[in-house]
Amino acid sequence: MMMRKPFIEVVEIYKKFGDVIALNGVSLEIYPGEILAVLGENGSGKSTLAKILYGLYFPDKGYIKVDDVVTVFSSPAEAKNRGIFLVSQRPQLVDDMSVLENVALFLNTSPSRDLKKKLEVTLRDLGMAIDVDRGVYTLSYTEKQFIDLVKALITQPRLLIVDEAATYLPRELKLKFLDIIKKFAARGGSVMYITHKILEAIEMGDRFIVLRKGDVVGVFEKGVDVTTIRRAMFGSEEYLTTFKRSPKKITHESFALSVENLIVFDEHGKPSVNDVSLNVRSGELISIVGIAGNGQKELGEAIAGLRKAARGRIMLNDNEITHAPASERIKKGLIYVPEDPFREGVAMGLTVAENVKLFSQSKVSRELLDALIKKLDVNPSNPFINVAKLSGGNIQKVSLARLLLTTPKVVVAYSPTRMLDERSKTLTLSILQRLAESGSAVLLLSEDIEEVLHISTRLGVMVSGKIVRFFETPDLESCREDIEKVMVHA
Amino acid sequence: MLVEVVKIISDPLVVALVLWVLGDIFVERSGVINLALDGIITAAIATAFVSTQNFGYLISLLITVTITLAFASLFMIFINILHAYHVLTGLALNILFYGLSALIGLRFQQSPSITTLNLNSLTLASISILTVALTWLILYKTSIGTAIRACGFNPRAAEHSGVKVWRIRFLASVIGYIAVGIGSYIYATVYRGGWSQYTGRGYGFLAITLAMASTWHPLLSYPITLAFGYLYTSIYSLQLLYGIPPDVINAIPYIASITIVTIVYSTPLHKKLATPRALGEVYFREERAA
Repeated sequence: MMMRKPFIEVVEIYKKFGDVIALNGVSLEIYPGEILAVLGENGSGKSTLAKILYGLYFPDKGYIKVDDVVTVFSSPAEAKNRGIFLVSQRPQLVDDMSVLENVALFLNTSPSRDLKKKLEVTLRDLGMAIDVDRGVYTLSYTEKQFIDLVKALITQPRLLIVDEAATYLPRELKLKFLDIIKKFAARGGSVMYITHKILEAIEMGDRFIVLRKGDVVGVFEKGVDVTTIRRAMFGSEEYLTTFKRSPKKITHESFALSVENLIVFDEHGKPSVNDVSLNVRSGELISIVGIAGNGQKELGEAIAGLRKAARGRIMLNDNEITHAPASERIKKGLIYVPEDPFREGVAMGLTVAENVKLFSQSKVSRELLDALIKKLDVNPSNPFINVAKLSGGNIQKVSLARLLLTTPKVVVAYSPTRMLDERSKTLTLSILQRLAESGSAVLLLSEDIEEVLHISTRLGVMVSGKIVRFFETPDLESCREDIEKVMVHA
Repeated sequence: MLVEVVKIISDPLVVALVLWVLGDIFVERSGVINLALDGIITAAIATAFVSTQNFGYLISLLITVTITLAFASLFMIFINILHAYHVLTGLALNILFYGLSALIGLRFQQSPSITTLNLNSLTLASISILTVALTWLILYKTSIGTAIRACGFNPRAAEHSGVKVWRIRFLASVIGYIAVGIGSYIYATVYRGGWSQYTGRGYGFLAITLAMASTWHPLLSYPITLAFGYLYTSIYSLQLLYGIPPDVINAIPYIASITIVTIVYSTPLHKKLATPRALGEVYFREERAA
């Protein structure tokens, strides 16, 4: 192993965003045919590192060596020319163009008939039946994620950077996705596999690198155990709190939130929520889970008042709010936590303190601010820092502050832990759980079965805009396989 | 009827308008709101006028296109390199270009008119039809066109696919402003044959409206521009025939274009036609975002 030459070497890379250090002199190398797993919690610098390797960010200091030649990429186009490609957490496709046009864009050719044939053959070989003339917006999240991977593989890259791309796929599809990546490595390709899930890393990796706050804090060979990695990721701190679903003590008979026969259209005029009815009582935590793009997002936005309800009714404590503006719903105690903290969760460009003021619509004392930051573990803890300088996970924590300012009557959250590492995720879920215990009605819309399995009192599965089945047992974990089956095959 | 159509498609004003609309489509398809267009057209017309007077028709065409590209580059430097806000940059530059047009025209003109260039109907019609076809081919059948449209839909995803967004936006504006330069030249030399202060002001905004009404699609833009051109150039007969006041007559083409925009955007039609969603998005790669 040591005799071989690495395909790529990263040498002493530094990257700062304002006052926040994202990477503090990171060095590593990746050999041909090797899967290097990169682990770390939120804000550890994983994604920044990926983006530097793909030319999306320019490092402040340090350089990259490809095949022993010093290179610094100033754009993804250059990284691509050297055989490096990034498959990121969000499929990076142009929704308004067809699959074929997207692939043509990536290959820098015209969308010709030859390309179409080549693409169809590749898809068939991988066992995927997707019409390449379809607009990308008609594809599901899973299909988009696969197309993103396939378009990378067509170019026969030398290094594939996979940044949490498989994390939220349901098991069956995930295995297929990981299998493609493993085969790619077996044929001599290099893979940088970024994840915050330790088990997934152990399954995939040949070698392991752990980042914490921009520093490399551990390098491990195959055979390392979970505890060792966990200790490197989180330091010596004890972070795991186990969830116990509190026994049901629902005293309220009436529904805090009720949705009746709701129909909502998406941007392209398709019904993305199709005749959904559900009820949440105070003190209940109900989850709706489904593969991304099955309507959970639109359902959440319609309840929050951010998206028009085409038909049906939404009731908040027996008052109809179907057509009430979002501001009025917030005043009545309905708080929505969006998934994407960048675009929807916070106002970028304002400071942490200003964002909290925006949530509360009134003055916020310094003590309250500090308490919130401490409770949410926002890093760095300075409330007067521009949120745009924080990492994704920390911005999401700021966004969650909206839940802690009052006791909301109804909380609707859409994939609130998507960007978060284990510790922040646990924190977020326990906040939601505590809100339910103290009498809020909580509706958690999710794409991640892990997120919802342990804390919900009831769980609905959403497929193509409909809730196809509700599961309600004290032991949802035992239904896990059934739930996944319904998610994929209904 | 046929005579009417031939008259419209070979009308030099309509040909100029078609080129301006197509030029705007190139720029806006790449995601840049092209509000500087009006000022640049005004300055380009003044340039075409004075350079024809001083250097003759052929050299004037070259000078006009070159200067138009220089103006467009100034606009693009603000947008692509300094990441300035599109709308404000466009509006501010307009004021600069209006002033510049007056300066160019007043400083270099020898007399207030030139002999108009005589192009036959076939040549004029071919210029616009060929430009329409070429625009469509470039935008929808080539790799550059795919990249331009991708930047207008989603610059972040385009960058991920290996497109250098700022370069493509620059390139789109170069292609587009060549058409704008030629259009302004035709306006000055073939149609107008004269110049007074601020000649041509307002056509840029008209072109932007017509491009929007046609959902930035080159093939759709042609009939819409022709329809507008018909109303604009032929409607004076109404005044003679029915005695409608000229103020009302003058407003009709604009009311018609607003009507077209309203019809296109209030019906499901525009959902079928993919419009550049990221129009006006200030794209800065190193911004931290998902």
